[in-house]
Amino acid sequence: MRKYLYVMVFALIMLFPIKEASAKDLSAHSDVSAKTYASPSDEQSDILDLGVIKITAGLTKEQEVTFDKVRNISGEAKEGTLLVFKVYQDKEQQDKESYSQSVGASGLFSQLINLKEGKNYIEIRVEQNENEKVFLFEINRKKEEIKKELEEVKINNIFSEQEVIKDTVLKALLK
Amino acid sequence: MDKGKLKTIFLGVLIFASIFQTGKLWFGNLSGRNFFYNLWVRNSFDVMNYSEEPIYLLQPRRIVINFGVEGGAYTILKHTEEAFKLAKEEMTEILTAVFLKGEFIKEEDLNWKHILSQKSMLYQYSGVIPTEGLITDGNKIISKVSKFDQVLLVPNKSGEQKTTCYFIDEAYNKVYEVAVKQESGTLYDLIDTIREDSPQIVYISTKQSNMNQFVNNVFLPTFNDPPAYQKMVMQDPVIEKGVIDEKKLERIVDPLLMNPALKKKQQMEDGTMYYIEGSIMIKYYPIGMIEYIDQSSTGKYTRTSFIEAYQIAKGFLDKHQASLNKEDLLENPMYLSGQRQTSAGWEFYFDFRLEGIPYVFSEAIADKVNMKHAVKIVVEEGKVKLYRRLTWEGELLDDECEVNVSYLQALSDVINTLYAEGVENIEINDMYWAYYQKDFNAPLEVYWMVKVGDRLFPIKARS
Repeated sequence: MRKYLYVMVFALIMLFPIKEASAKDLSAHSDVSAKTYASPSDEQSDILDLGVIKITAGLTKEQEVTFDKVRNISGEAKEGTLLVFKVYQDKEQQDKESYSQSVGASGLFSQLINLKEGKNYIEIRVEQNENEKVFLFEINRKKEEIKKELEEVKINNIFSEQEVIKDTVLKALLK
Repeated sequence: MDKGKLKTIFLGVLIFASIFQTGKLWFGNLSGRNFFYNLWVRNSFDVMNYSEEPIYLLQPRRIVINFGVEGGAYTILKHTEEAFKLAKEEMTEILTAVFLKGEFIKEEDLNWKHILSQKSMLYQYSGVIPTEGLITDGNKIISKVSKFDQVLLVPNKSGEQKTTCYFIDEAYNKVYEVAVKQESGTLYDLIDTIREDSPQIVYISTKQSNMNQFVNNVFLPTFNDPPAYQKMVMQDPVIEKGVIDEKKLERIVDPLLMNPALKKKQQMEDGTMYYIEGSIMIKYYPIGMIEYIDQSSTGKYTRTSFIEAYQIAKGFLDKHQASLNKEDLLENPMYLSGQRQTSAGWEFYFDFRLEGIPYVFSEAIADKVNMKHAVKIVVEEGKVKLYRRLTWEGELLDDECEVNVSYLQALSDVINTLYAEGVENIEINDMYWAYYQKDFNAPLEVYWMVKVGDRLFPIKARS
C-alpha cells in the first residue's frame, strides 16, 4: 500500500510541472492567433504602388473626402527621382501651389500639403531617367461645421440601436 | 509661581537642551551642527518633496498631440506652453484613475498604425518606467503592466464614455490596453483647439508612414515655411574675465551644504576649488562643472525601486534648482534624459532644454568635461551620493537663422556617410532637432541629431 502511495506522489510531482508548461504554451499560442492586426498584409494594405513611386502615407485612392486641413504625402522612390507637387482647386487656376524635391540616398520623399475647403487637386509629376509620369488625385475637404455636427450625432446616438436613423442623419449632413 | 521655581524650570530646559545638543554632536550627523538646522533646512526640503504623489513625478519628456488624420499629422507641445502644463496635469488625473479603478482590457503586440488611428495624446518618457512602487503593491493594473516607456491617451468628448489608455513598451513591442471611466473632455477640446490653430510645423510618424529605415516610431517635423531660431552661446557665469568669481560660486555651492558657515575651502594649483563640510565634499572644476560627493556610508545595500530613487534624485535637484532660481543663476530648464540601474542603486541623467529644444554637446566637449549629460545623479543607500552638474548657462544671440534642411536631406547625408563606411543595413533609432555645440566658445546652432545604434550624427539644419 505504502509502495503505491510513493508511486502516486512521485507521479503527481512529475505531472504538475508538465501541466504548467503546456498551459503556458497554449496561452502563448492563443495570443498569436487572437491578434487582430499587425499581420504583414495589413501593414502593406495602405501603400499605393504607382510603379515609379510608392505612396506609403497620405493618399490611398484617387478620390477621397476629408475634414483634414493638412495632408502629408510620403513615399518611396529611386534615388535621383524628381518629384513636383502641384496643388490647386481649379484646373484653370494660374497660381498653383508648387513644391519640388529630389529623392536622396534615403529613397524617401515627403510633402506637406495644405487643403482648402472644397475640391483640392494634387498633381504629382515624377521624372525618372528622362521618363515623366503625372498622377492626379482629388481630395474634397468638407466644412468643419459638418464635422462638429457629426460628432454631436455620434455622441447623442452612441448607445442608440437605431442604425437607420443614424445613417439618414449622416447622409443628410454629408450632402 | 515664585521667581525661584521659574528659574528652576528655565535651568531644567537649558540642561535638557545642552544634553540633547551634545548628544547630537556626539552621535548625530556632524554636518548638522547648527542648532536651528532642523527647523529651516528640513522645512524648505519638505516643500519640494512629492512623496505623496509618485505619479506626479512622471514628467514626460515629450507630449505629442495626434490630430487623428489620414496619413498622420501631429504636433509636439513646447514645455513653456500652457497647453503642456494642462496636458500634464490632466494626464496625472487620468493615470491616477487608471491605476485606482482602471479595467485591464488586453495585452497585444505593438501596432503603431492601429493605436494612432484616433485623436489622442502621446506621453513619451526617457527610458523604461518600471511601475513597481508607483502605487500600492498588489494593484491589479500594475500586476499586468510591469513597465512602459510611453502612454497614449484616447480622450472622449462625452463623460459617459470610457477613456482608453495604452501603456506602450516599445523595446519589447508590447502594448497594454486599459480603460477607465474618467472625464477627459478637457484633453479632447485641447486637441481640437491646437488643431484649429494650424501649427506651422506638422510632425509625421515614421511607423504610420511605413518608413522601414526607422527601428522605433519617430516623430519628424515637416513644413512648407522654414521655421526660424536664434543662435545661442553657452557661458559659465562663475568665470569672469578668466577669474573664478568665488561669491557667485558659493551661491551655487552653499545650498548643497547643511551648514555653509562651517565649510572649509581650498584651491588647488589647477584652479579646482574644494569645499568640505562634514561628510560632504564639493569640487568646482574651472571647465564649468561642480561635483558633490557624500562620503558618509552605512555600508548596507538598500534596495530602492526606480520611483523611490527618482524621487530622491528629483527632490535633490529641485531643491538645489529652487535656491539657484532665487539667485538668478543656472536657470536652464532640464529634463530626465536617461536612467540606469547599477549594482548599488540608480543613476539618473538630466539634460538642458534651450528654447524648448534639447541641448547636445559634441564628443570632444564630453571628453573634456568627462560627462555625456549636463547632470548626473547617483542614488545609493537611499540618498544622493554623487551629483555632477555643468555650470553653463545658455544665452540668446541676436542672429536668427532658418531651418532649411529637411529631415529627408539630413537622413540622406547620414546614409551617404554610412554607405561610404561600408555599412549596408542602416537602421535609424532616433532623429530630432537639438541646439548643438561643436566646441567650447562656439555658438550653438540647431542641428539634426540622427541616432544610428550608439552613434549620434549631427547634421546642420541650415544650409
